[in-house]
Amino acid sequence: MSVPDEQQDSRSVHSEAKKIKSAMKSRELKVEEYHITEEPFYLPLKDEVDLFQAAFRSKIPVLLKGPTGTGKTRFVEYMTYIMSREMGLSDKEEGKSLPLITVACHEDLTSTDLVGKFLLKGDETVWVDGPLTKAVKAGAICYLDEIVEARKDTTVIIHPLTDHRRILPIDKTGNIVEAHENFLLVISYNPGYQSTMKDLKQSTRQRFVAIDFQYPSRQQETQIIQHESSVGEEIAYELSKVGEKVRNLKGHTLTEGASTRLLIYAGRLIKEGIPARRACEIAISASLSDESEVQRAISEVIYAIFP
Amino acid sequence: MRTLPDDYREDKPYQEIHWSRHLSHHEILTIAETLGDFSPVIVSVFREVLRSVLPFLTRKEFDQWVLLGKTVYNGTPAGVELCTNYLQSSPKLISTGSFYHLKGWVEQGLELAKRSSLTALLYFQITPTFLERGEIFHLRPWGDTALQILSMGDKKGEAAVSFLKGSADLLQFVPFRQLKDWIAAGIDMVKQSPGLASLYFALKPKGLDLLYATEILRIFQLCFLISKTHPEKALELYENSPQTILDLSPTVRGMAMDAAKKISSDKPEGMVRTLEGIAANLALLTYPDQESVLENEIPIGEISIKASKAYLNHVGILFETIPETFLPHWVDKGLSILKRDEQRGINYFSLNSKTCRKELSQLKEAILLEDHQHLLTLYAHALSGEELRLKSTKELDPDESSPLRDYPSCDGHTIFLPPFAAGEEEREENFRNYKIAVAHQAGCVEFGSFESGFPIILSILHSFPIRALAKDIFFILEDGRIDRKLTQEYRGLKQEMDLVLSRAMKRRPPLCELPIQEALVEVLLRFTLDCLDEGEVPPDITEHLFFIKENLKGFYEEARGIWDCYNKTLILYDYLSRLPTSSSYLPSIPLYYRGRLDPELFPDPGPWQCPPDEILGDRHKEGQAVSISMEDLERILDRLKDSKDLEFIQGEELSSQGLSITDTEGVTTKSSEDDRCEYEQRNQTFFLPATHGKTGQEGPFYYDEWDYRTRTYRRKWCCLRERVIEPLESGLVDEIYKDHMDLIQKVKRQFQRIRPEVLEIVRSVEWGDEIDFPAMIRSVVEKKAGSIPSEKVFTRREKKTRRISTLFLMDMSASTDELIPNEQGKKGKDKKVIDIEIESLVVMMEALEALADEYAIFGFSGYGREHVDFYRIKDFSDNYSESLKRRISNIRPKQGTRMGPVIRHAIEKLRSMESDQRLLLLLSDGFPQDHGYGEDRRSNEYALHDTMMALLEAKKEGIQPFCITMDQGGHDYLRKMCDPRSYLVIQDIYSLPEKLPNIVESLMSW
Repeated sequence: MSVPDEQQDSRSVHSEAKKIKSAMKSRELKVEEYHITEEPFYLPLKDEVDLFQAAFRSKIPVLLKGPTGTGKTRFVEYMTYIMSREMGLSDKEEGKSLPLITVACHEDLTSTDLVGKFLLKGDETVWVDGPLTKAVKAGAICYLDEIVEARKDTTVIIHPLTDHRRILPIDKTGNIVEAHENFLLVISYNPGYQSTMKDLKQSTRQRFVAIDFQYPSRQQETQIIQHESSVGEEIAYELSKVGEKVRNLKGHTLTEGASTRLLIYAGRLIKEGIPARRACEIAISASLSDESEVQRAISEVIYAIFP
Repeated sequence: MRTLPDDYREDKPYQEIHWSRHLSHHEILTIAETLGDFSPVIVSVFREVLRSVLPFLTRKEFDQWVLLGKTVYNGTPAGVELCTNYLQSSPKLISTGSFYHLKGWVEQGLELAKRSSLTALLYFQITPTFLERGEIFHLRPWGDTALQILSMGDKKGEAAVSFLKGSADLLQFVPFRQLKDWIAAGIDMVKQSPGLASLYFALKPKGLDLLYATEILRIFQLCFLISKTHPEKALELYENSPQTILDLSPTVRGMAMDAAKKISSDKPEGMVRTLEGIAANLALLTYPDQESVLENEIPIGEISIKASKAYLNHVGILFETIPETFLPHWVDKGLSILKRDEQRGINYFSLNSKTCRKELSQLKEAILLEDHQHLLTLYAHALSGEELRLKSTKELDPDESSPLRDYPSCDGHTIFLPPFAAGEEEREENFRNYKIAVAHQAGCVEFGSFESGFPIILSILHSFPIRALAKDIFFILEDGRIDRKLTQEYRGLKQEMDLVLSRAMKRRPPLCELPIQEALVEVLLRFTLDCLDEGEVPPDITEHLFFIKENLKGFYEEARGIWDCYNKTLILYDYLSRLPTSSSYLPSIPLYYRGRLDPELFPDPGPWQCPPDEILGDRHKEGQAVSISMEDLERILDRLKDSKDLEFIQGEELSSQGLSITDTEGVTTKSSEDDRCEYEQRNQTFFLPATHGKTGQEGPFYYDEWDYRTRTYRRKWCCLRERVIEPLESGLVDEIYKDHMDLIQKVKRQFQRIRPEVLEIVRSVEWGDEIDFPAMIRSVVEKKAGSIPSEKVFTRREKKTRRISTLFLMDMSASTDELIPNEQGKKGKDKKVIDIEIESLVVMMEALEALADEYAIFGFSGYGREHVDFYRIKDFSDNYSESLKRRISNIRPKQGTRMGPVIRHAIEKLRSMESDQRLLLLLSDGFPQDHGYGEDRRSNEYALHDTMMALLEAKKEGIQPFCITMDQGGHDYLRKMCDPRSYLVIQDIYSLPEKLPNIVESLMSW
């Protein structure tokens, strides 16, 4: 039986919609079950991949420093994938690959939030592990993003995990958890905009090897933008040029330069058909500053680059 | 013989008098009795004044004094009154001058009495007032003038009386010798109308007491000028002009009167109206605008009075159309027309000509650099990647007519732009001109125009026989290179550059009108810009065009830098300079955005000259500070000015061994030359660090200043530099610590109580770190009992303590050097204000250290708006260390107190602090005062308003300002500056160390 074209079309539209619907479905996972199953795009800028691999193998905690949007988080994801692969853990064998537990630190983050706490369940109290404990037990890479935002008393609890002991004492349960062989602590912070009050304590700082992240070169950034936003090389190059020029204002007018992330956003908007100047205005000028004069100056730079 | 009343015989009144050796009590009584024959009133007055004359008179003089009295009595019909006035006034004369003047005075009085008794009476009567305000030597001319008035005919007595009274009154404003014009005008009036003259002399014009002496004299001059021909107008002028000019700025009143005089020279009777008209027009403007208007009037008035009149009549309307900044430009344009054709000039200044209207419409759309300076600086900075500064070309040349002011320029570090951009029909177009100019100048920096060989190339080009030709060729080629680079790198700019170019090309000179060399240079320019229309090229130079084209084929594709342009310049110069020409070469008119290079920005790179040996010597090692004398410094500065040695301050090549003189930034800034010299003279010690660079200094930071008269901010008006105080090993802090040990301990304990950052446990919350057992038990019980249990069974730890950042601003002005007498019985000797400030801060630091809160201490001083110094004693990030103590030991009084920029800089410092409470404490010893802090030196209104505004800005930022002053008169101005809860006047300055911690504590607990 032949199906009329119209009906066929409506079916194909229907199945397409179904596909999109399933793709839109969100997944809920336990933190220790989050694995990087597909290789993230990461363009090594220097020798950071080798350094991380060496640190992982030597069980040395890693501190990632650098301005916002320079790929620190992406790097951790990438390295999780790489280390997982290197250790022969197939990403398809669920539960065997290296999990990645990310904690976004904030100023109300307490040690309890990291280690765990007792909760009431029915008539009894139940101990619930925090993300750090879960990572220690599961042998995950635990990534504490923007660590300096957390309270100072919080950061101290990571000390025994970051030296030769590699243990996590849990006072409330009276237990000590020895870290899994694959456990690695990675922390990040942005020295640029933190106030002196929020500097990392030396006793914490000196437990990590530090990898510096800087903005990529124009060529590297072009590649990144091109890949991430799917724009043509020429636009990607011009966007990286905008980034480079706007970064010249860092330290005086701007506390932070334009991040690669913002340039990628601009690229995506351009890809979606927004005119380049307008896309850059909303993704870069308006994002970086609230001062109209500074916004105008950045916009003028954008106009100079994009016809 | 009349009998004296009884009380005259009493001895008592005379017993207390210090009698002259030759005069007995009996003789006095006898004299009194003789006078009693004339009138008892005379005796009474005699008795009253006797006590005041006797100490000054010898016996002989006393007799003469009495005799003269009798003469006065006998000489005139109104003898009693005259004699009484004589007796009453003479003691003042005798005590002021000498007995010698007495006789002349009486003779003159009698002379006056012959003509008018009333005048003579007043003459004697007013003399003491005259003497109080004037000099005794002018007594005779004063009387002579009265005589002159009387001798001019009948019925002149009233005028003479008015004169005597009026002149004595005027002496409180101007000395007698300067009343010349006033008297002359009066006498002119007496001749024509004695009544008018009386009115004139007796007149006390309203507002006269509020004028300066020079202004009053100027009014007298004007009156005299018209009194002969138009006495009634002179009277009107005298009566009204003080009030008329009172609305004007004191700096322009004289100029306004001069202008009125000049304009009414052909019709003096119109002077009153003219002056009123000028003042009415000017009164609508701000004080600086008034000044600007009248300064610009001078050159117009020199050419045509009518034009000047037209200008002053219409300037009010003009200011409604264009901002004041454009006035000189507008006037210049008018002057050039006026010089060619008076009538057209008058029309122009009457705002009644096509040219004027066009000019105004353009100026209306003009934009000011200061409004866009920040934006353009950021633009230049972003494009070039260098921290380029942006300045007005006014700073290149103070001369307003200098061509340097009209074009942008750059020295590799600073871009100079004309103070405003005009000439286009719309603002956007004017802004585009600015923008493209900045892009081009920034491009010169980005693409290597100012690389190290640049001064050498300039120097070589300068040595060419036709140097203007050589330079033109080189800059056309180099600018062409830059433009190409710019449009390649910034594709978005191309379109705008093309627009700017298309407009600029319309204004280029036609090729056919130019001599051959100039025409070919113009061809070269157009060719490099791809704007050459070959049809326009005159046939006689076509063959040369071929040469240019051949030589530039593929040039820009290969050109890498200035040396390539230089090499090409040599070829083209060689060719063009050989062409036969009848006149000397005239430099090409530059394109606006490319600008014109100021050769003075690039001094000839001659051999570097060492500073004099005696200054460096061999006893000083590298890095050591060397103090030098004023003479040596002046010698160095002279050398800097005259020679090309400036490089040894600026040159990077010499950085390893370079010599820099602290506190001489701005040596190259011509406009501030005078200020700089004055500033440097006030600095007593200078240092020559042997390492290049401005060690211990940050900035400059530019801050706005509030002008209360125009109610606007003066943009980037003050230049502030952060300096670090050099440490000094003196043990001062330890001494203070020892002296105030008890106080410090007390204050420490006091502050420790405020403390501490604790995490407070909050119970019964829905989520938290730990289980709250009592709450949990309650919850379980509730559940077992069948009710709905509460879910709030956790405890949480929360930060409760506020974080406070405190910034102390310490006045280090020269006035803090003042010694305060230690009257309150405090131990120790007298101290200077600054010493007490330091003591207080040391005590305060100890307290704040105990609190472990963030705090910073800065000092401030400076001289003028370009030299505001912000001394870092302790920044928030600095620890309480030995070096800090040494820095405190070296705090010294400096110069002025320009509080506005300092507070604004402190706001910037505090802005970055993430605290719950931010305090700004201003410690000063007087009102804000600095060189140029307000137009009028006598008034501190400007400074107060600016400071008040800065304090308001602090409040807006959430900063809590508090002013502490040691000036006992502080209430008067602090009341204006801040609300009563935000300031404190310390009565006993010595108690500041005790009071300061209490103040800070109370502020913290707000």
